[in-house]
Amino acid sequence: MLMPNNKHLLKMINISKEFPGVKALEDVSFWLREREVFAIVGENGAGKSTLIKILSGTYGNNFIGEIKINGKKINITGPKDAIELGIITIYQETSLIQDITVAENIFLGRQPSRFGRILWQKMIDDARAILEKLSIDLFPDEIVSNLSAAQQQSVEIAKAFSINSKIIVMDEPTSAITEENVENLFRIIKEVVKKGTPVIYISHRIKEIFEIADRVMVLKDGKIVKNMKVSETNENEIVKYMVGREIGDIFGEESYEPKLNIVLEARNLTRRGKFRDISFDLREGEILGFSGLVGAGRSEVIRCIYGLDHLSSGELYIEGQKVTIKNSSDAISKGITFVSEDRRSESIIQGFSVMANLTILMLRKILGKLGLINTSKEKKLAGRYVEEFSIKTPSLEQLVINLSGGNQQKVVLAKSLSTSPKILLLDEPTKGIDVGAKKEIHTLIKRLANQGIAIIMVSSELPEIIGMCHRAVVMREGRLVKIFNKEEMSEESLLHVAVGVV
Amino acid sequence: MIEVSIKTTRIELKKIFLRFFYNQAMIIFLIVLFTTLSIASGSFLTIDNWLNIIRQTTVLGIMACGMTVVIIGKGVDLSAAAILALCAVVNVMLQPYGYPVAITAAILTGIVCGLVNGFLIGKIKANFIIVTLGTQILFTATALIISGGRNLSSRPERIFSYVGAENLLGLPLMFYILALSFIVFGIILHKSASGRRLFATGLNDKAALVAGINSSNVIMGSYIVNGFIIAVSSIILASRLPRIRVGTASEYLFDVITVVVLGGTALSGGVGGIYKTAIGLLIFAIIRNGMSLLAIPYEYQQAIKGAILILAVLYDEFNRRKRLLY
Repeated sequence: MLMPNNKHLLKMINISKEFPGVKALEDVSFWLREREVFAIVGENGAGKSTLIKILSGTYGNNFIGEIKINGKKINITGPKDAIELGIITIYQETSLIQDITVAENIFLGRQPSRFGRILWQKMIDDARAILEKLSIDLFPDEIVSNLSAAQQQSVEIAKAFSINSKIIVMDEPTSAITEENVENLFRIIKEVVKKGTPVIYISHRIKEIFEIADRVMVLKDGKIVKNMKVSETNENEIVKYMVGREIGDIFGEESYEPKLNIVLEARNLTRRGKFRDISFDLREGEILGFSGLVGAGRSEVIRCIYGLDHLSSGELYIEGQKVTIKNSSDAISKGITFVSEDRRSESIIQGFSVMANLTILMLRKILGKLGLINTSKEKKLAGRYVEEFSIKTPSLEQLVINLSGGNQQKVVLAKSLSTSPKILLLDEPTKGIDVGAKKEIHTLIKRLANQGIAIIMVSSELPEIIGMCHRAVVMREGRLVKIFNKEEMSEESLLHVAVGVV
Repeated sequence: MIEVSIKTTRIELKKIFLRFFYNQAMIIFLIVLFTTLSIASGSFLTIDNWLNIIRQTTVLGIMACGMTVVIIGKGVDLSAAAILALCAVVNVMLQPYGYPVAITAAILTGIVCGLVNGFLIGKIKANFIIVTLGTQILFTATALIISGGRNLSSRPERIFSYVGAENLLGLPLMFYILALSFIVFGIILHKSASGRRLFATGLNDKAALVAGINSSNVIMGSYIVNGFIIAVSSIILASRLPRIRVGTASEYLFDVITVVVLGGTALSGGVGGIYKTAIGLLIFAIIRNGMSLLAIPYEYQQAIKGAILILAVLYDEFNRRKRLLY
């Protein structure tokens, strides 16, 4: 498969791992060479995270197969062993301590010291040297909480790079940062690799693979589908290997034209410090996109419409009637429903089963005699949703956290529709979800619109806005700059308005 | 490949066995305890002993029902014993005005105490540890003020002593009250919409909020319900003891929390139930009974009780980690 005379830094050989009832990985092998970016792609459930967890020591010795570094077999009993061997993993969630400086974070736990006293100046100087080496434009004495998500990520990379790392693993590094920062991230990664540390890069975003990776491995259902050089393949081919079908139409079938009647009218919505004078209409059966950079105020607007936050001023009209929405149950009773961007802490109730999650918004419908919950009613209702939305779960009683991200999102979507809403507010509905599930959710959303539900969709993925929406609102720094019609939409034009370049 | 399958099957079997063991750890422990004590002490398995156990744990058991509710809501009511004392004092002091008045007053007192806690914790969102520590002092002080610091004699009206002493089918009436409160709480907690909402709030109040659940009302309700049920148990307490002192109640707090946590209801909220608390109550009752049957000195009993609570909390923490891993 690979050129035999290239130095192999890391070899994972015949890795298999099973969980009760699930073969997460079956006989996966790959080689990592020095000075390369090796991408691993695959749908949720393909085995990427399991593979990484094995490498980072999370599962200790509980797997089958061998890991060799520089030709020597290694024994990992826990995460500490992995770190000592130089395998540093950077996850999606930040592991930095917010209240201290960049330098302190970089040297956390290994501050330069003499006779027990920390040499602060040396630490700052050493940190500065590392940042400069990677051309990261940050001050070593800056407090981390003052940095943006993208900047914090650079600090994590600097930290990983400086800990005598042999291999850096990055899990979905671009899911929390904006497009302009992605370029910067790639530059830093290239610097790191140039200096001798290879990077294993896991992502759902196939486009990025072509920008940053040298080789790519596609996993599907725990097995390797293909391992090839990036230069010898293309996007379509990779997606085909991932899901077994052409990328073609990720956005589902055409949607009908929205009806003419206005379901929701927003006039001069303002929330001090977050957004000002937001006005727009939403028609029945329409999908209205909310585009803009992270921090533009889009989520804040729809959260206020749903009653989770308060408006400082402005008016809302539902079907012509002025309404005041004080809290979420108010919103629900007025026919509005909301899917949060933060799936884990705001959408699903982690300790609940799939069934309990599905029925939490319609408890009234599953009550039986004496006003108590009727289990068979609950099962029937939940079962119907599972079927309708093709939610892949071994059973209704399965804990919802054990489902893949895409299926969790389907549960969330199904749940939000259980109140028979007129208006659906979606905040980044396909964030962190693999290609196959994304298409399913897009199809679902379009189906809902075709049924007459008015939908607002906040999204940071321009192709998604263009492919899904009838019109798009673009916000910048808390103001509504422009509302695009379908014909006017293009990635360039949307981004220009979002960024402020005319 | 076959080697691989055999190895993983063995690992799988081992894991299934371990998981079963941990889930049923408390029941297994109960069985072991039961057997050990039956052997260690001749009087353990007598009817008299068990009637005694019932009488001694009814108040505790009823209070544990309320505390279970609060803990599932991710809180703890550290003022529970103080509420117990206050309600008992109110009860006894109003006995001269007749039994219905005294009981109603006691119940109202409990509800008001619960309301104070619930409002501060649920609506104002103040930290539940600080609030209930504060109300503990407040309620105890109120009890002292009302009672003038003196020992109160509970003049057992006919109905009081009825509750305290009478038997139905060979079991004291209070047993039925205990059983009833377990059943009622079990239904409310596990089978009602409010109970479902309480679990949701305890597990993830942010998600509950998005789901249209008014978490402040749910939390407030949990403390009010607790206040109410403590009042009920105070009536039983007053009927059992000829004298009520404000200090009588203080040990209950510790015991109630131990019982609930021992049973497997998680302090982190959202997990647990009445069935579990019942097991916890049984274990606690048996240990306490066993210690006195074996004539273990008071100081050692206290030490053991403290150790049990710590073990219970460790068990809870261990379970929490296991849940996260899974």
